Amino acid sequence: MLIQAFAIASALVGQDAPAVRPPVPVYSHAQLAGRMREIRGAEWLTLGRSRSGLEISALRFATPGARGKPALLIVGNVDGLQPWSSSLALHHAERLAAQPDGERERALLERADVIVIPCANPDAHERRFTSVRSEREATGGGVDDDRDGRQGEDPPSDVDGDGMITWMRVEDPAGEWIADPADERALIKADAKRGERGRWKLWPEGRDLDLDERVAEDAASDACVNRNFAEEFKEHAAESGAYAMSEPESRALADFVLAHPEIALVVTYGAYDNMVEKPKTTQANARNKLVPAPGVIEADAELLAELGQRYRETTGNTAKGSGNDAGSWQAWLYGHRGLWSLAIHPWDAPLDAKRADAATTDAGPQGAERKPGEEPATSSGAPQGQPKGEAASAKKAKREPSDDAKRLTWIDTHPEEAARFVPWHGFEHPELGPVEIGGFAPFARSEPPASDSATIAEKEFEFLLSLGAELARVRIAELSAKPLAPDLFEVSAAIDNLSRLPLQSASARRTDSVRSLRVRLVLDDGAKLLGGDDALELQRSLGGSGARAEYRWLVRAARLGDIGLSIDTDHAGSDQRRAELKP
Amino acid sequence: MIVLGLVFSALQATPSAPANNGFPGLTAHAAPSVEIAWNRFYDERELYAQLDRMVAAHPGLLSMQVIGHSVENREMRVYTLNNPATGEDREKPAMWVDGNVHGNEVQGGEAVAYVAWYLLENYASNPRVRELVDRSAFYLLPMVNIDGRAAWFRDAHNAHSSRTGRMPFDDDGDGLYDEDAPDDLDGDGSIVQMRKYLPGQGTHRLNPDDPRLLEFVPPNERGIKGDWIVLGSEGLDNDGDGRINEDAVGGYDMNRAWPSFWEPDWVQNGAGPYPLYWPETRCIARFILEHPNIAGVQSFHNAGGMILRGPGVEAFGEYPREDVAVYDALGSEGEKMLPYYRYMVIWRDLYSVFGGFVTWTYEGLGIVSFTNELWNDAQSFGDHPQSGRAADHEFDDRLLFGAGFVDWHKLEHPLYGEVEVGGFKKDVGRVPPSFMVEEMVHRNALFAIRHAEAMPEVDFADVEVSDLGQGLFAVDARIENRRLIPTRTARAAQMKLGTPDRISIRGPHCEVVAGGLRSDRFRPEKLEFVERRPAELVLERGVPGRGEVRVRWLVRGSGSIEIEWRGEKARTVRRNAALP
Ligand SMILES: [Zn+2]
Repeated sequence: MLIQAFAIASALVGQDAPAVRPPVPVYSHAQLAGRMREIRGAEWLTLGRSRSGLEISALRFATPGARGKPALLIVGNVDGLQPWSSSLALHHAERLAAQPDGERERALLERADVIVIPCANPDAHERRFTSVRSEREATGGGVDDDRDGRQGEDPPSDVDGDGMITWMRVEDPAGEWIADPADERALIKADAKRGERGRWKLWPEGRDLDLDERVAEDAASDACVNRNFAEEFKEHAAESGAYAMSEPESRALADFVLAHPEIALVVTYGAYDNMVEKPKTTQANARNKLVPAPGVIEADAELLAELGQRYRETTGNTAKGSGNDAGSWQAWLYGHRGLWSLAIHPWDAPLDAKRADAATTDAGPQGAERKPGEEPATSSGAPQGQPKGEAASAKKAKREPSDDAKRLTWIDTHPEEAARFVPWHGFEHPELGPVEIGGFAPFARSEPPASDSATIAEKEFEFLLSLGAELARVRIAELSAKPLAPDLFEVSAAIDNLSRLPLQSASARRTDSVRSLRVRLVLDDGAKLLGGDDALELQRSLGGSGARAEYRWLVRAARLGDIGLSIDTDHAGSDQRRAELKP
Repeated sequence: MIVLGLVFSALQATPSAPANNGFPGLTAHAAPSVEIAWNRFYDERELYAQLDRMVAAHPGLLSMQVIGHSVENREMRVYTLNNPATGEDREKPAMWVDGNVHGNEVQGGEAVAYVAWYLLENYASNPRVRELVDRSAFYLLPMVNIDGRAAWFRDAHNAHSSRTGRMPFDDDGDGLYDEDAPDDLDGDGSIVQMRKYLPGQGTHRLNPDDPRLLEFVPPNERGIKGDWIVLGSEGLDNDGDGRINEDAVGGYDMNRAWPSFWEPDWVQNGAGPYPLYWPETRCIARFILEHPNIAGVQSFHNAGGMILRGPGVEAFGEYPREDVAVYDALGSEGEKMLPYYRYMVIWRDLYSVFGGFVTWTYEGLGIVSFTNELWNDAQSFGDHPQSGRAADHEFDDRLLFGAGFVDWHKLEHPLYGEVEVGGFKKDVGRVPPSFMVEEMVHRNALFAIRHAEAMPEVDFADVEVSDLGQGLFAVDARIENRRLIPTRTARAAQMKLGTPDRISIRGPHCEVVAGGLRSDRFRPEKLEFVERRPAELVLERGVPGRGEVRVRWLVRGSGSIEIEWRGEKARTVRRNAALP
C-alpha cells in the first residue's frame, strides 16, 4: 500500500484546472495495459517484449488521411524510473479517446495520427510496484563491476526491510560527506577549502555479501535501456550495455521507428528535457577526425527553442531534466533518425518552497505547483553535493542550501508529502556495524502530488494538441501551363509548406535518414517531356513558414488535362493536381 | 565414402593411425579421407556440402550447428572442430575463422573450409596438428554473407558487385526498393562495361595495339578528340527516373555493422541504422559473445594481398604497445607465409573503416584479430610484376587463352542506341584463376592455423612450499604461458573486458593468511599482497605471452593443497602440493 503513498495523499483536486478532473496516479504495467484495453477507437500495436517478457504496447489513433499523413509519437518512461510519465502518456491517449470530436482533438487527429507508447521500459517501470521499491534503472546484461571474477554477487538490497532501497551513511574518517548546515538531513560533500572534514561514507542500501568492504557494488544487471541507443553510445560503460541496441526494449523501439517513416515528431516524457532548457548545440558539419560532434544543430535548436517557449508558456513547467543524454532514445531519434525529438521532464520536487517562519509567505498547498529547479535533477535520491557554481565562489561566502535541503523544505511545508523522505534511522548492519539508513524515497522526485497531477497532465495535453499544426505539410500551391506554341506548354509548379517546421530537420538532411519529397510530373496519353526539370525530382529540403520549391518543364501535350503533378512524402502528406491554364 | 570416413574416425583418436592419411604433398601415397578439388570455387550449397562431407568423415572431431538465418533464410552454420576426448570446446582457447562477409569475396569461404580440411586430414599423422587440435577448438563460419555469395554465383555480376546483403534498401530515396539494378543486356551471365562509338565527339580512343583497351584523351587545344565515350556498367533506366543502375539490390556493407567505433550511414557508408542490424551479423555477434573462450579471430576477404589489423579509424589512436608487439610478430610471420601480402594497419595503410568486424573483436572484446585480403594480382607475374588493364589482358591471353574477357560486341540500347559491351568477367581481378586457388587457400588457412597455435596455453612451471617457521608456510607458484598471445590482451586489461584470470589456493586444513604477486625472482618479500580474499588472486593483466607470473601465499595449516589457475582464454590447470 506504500505504492500509492503519495499519489493519493491529497484530497484536494486542483481547483485551478479548467475542469475538475481526477488525479492521475502511477499505474503498474498491468494497470496501464488494462486501461489501454478500455480505450476505443485506437489500434493496438505490439512493439516487442521486455527482457523479462512484458509486452511493450502502443495505441494508434488514426483517421483517414492522404498518403504520407504524419504521425506524432508519444512515449512514456523509456528511462524506467519515471513511472508517472507513463501515466501522462496514457492520460493523453484517454483524453483523445474520450473526446475525439472535440475541436482541438479533431484538429490534431486530422493533421496527424497519434501513436502512444505509455510504457517503453516495463521491467524498470515495475520496480515502482514490486514489494521492494528501488530506483535501479538497469534491466539488462551485467558485468563484473568490481573485477573480482564474479558477476552480480553484491547487489543493492532492502537491508532494513521497509520495502524501499534507499541510502546508508556510515561514520568513517575517510568519508567525504557531511550534513548540510541548512538541513541536517541533507548531505553535502565536505569542502577541504572550508576546513571541513568528511563524516560519512555513503552507500546504496545493501549488504557487503562478497565481504570486499564495498557495499552493493556488483548488481546482476548493469545495462540501462535509455543508455543503450546508438547515438553517442558510450562503449564499455557498464550501464550502456554490451553494444548499442543490445537490449530487447531499445531494439523494439528502434525497429518501430524504422518501420514507421510517417513519424514526424516524438514527445518523450521522462528524465530528460529540451523544452525548458536549450539543448547543447553544434555546427552541422563539426567533426573530429571524421567523427561527428554531438549535439543539436543550431538551425534545429532555434526551432526547438520556439517550441520550448510555447511549452513553458502553456505548461508553466520549469523542471529541467538530467543533463547527459548520450545513448538515449531521444538523442538517437534526433541525431540518427533526423526526427523532431521533444524531451519533457514533467515534474521534480520544487526547490523554491519557503518555511512559514521565513520572512516570505508560506508556499501553502499551492506551493506544490511546479517552480524553477536550479540544476538538472538526478533521478536518484542520492545527495548531490555542492550546488552548482558554489565551488568557484567558495571562499567565505555564505553557503547556499543544497538542492536536497530545498526539496526537504518543500516536503516539510507539505505534511501530506512526508513519505517522500525516509528519515535517517540507526541500523545494525550485518557487515558494517552501526549505520544510518534513509534519504529520499524511491520515485519521490518524479511523481507530482496527487493534487497537482491532473492539472499538470491537462497542461501537457494542451501543449500536445498544439503540435499538430506545427508539423510540416506539403501541398501543391500552383500547377499552371502556359501555351508557347501549338501543343507546347511551359509548365510551372510551386510546392509549399505553410507549417513552422521544415520538411526535414537539419539533422535529417545531414543524416539522409528521412526520405525526400518526391515531385513527379504525370504525363498521360502521349504527352512528352521536352525540357526542364526531371520527371521525378527529389527535394531534400523545404523550409517551414511558407517556404516554396519551384519547378519548370517544357511539355508537348494534346490537351492540358494530360499534364498532372503528384507529390509524395513519407511524413508530410501528399498532393496531386491537374495543370491549369496560366491566365 | 561416408562408411570409409566412419572407419577412419574410429581410428583417429589413436595417434598410431595409418601414416598414409596425410596431407597430399607431404607424404607419398597419401590419400585424403575427403577428396576435395581446391582449384575451384563452390556455390553456397556446394560449400556447405563439402563441409558436411568432412563432418560425415570425422564425426568425432567436426560438428555443425545452425546459429541463425540470413535475410533470404539460408542457414548460418558454424562448424566446430574439437576433440571431445580432450575436453569440451568451451573449456579450450578457440579460434574463430570466417569469410565472405562481402558476397563477392568468395574465396574466403573456401579458405575457411580448408582450415577444417587441413586439420582433419593431418590430425592422425602430424603430431603438431594433433597437439593443436587437442588443446584448442575452432569455430568456422564459411559464409557470413551467404545470400550475397549465392547471388554472385547465380546471377550476372562483376568482380565488385554483390558485396551487399539482400535486405531491400532504397539507395536513391525515391520510395522504391532495389528497382534499378544493372542489367545483363546480352544475357551472357556477366555485367560488363558499355561504350559507344561517337567519331570525333568522344573522350576516349582505342589503343592502337590492343583495341580492347580504351585510352583517355585529355581535352586539348589541338582539336584532337576521341571517338568513344564510356557509359558505365551494363544496364537500363528500369524505373524511368532518368538515371541508370542507381538502386541495385541491398546497398549496405556487413563489415561496417559491428559495435566498436560504429558510426551511422552518413558517416560510414553502408553501416545501416544501428550496429548488428542485419540477422547475419547479429547471430554471429551473439555466438561470439557467448563464447568468451575465443582467443583468436581471422576473417577472410579479397583482394589486394593484405594482412590487416586495426585500428580502423585514426580517431581511435594506437593499440597498446604489448598488443602491437603480438600483432607485429604474427603479421611478420604472415608476410613470410604469404608472398605478395603486406601486413598493414587498416586506417593508415588502406582506408578508414568504422564498425569493422576485426576491430570489434579486438577493441570491443580484446581478441587478437586479423583480416586477410586474399589474392593479389601482382602474383600473376611472379617476379615481374605488372599492373593495369594491359597486364590483366596479357595474363588472361597468355595463361587463360582469353577466357576471362568478354570481347566487345555490339547491341542496341534503348536509350543510347548502338553500343558495345565488353570487359572482364566477375571471376577476374579479385579471385585468382583456378590453378592458383589452392595455393591461396592453403597459405591463408595456414596463417590462421599459425595464429591458433599462438593462443595462450598456461601451466604451472613449479610449485614450492617453504617453511617460514612458527607454523607459517610460503607457497610459491610460477605460472607460465608458452604461447605468443597473453591470456589477457593489454586491451582487455585496460578496458576490463571479459573476466580476469584467477589463481586460487585451497586445502582442507589450509588457512590463507596473505597472498599476492611476486615482482622479484630473488627477493620473496617483494610481494604485492592483496587487501582481501588472498586465497583467490585476480589477475586483470593475465599471464603474458611467452612469459610467466609468480605468486606467493602465506598459509598456515597442514595437509594437501590444490592450486588452480583459471581464465577465459586458456584451459584451467591445477596442481597439487602438500604442507609438511
Ligand atoms: Zn571485403
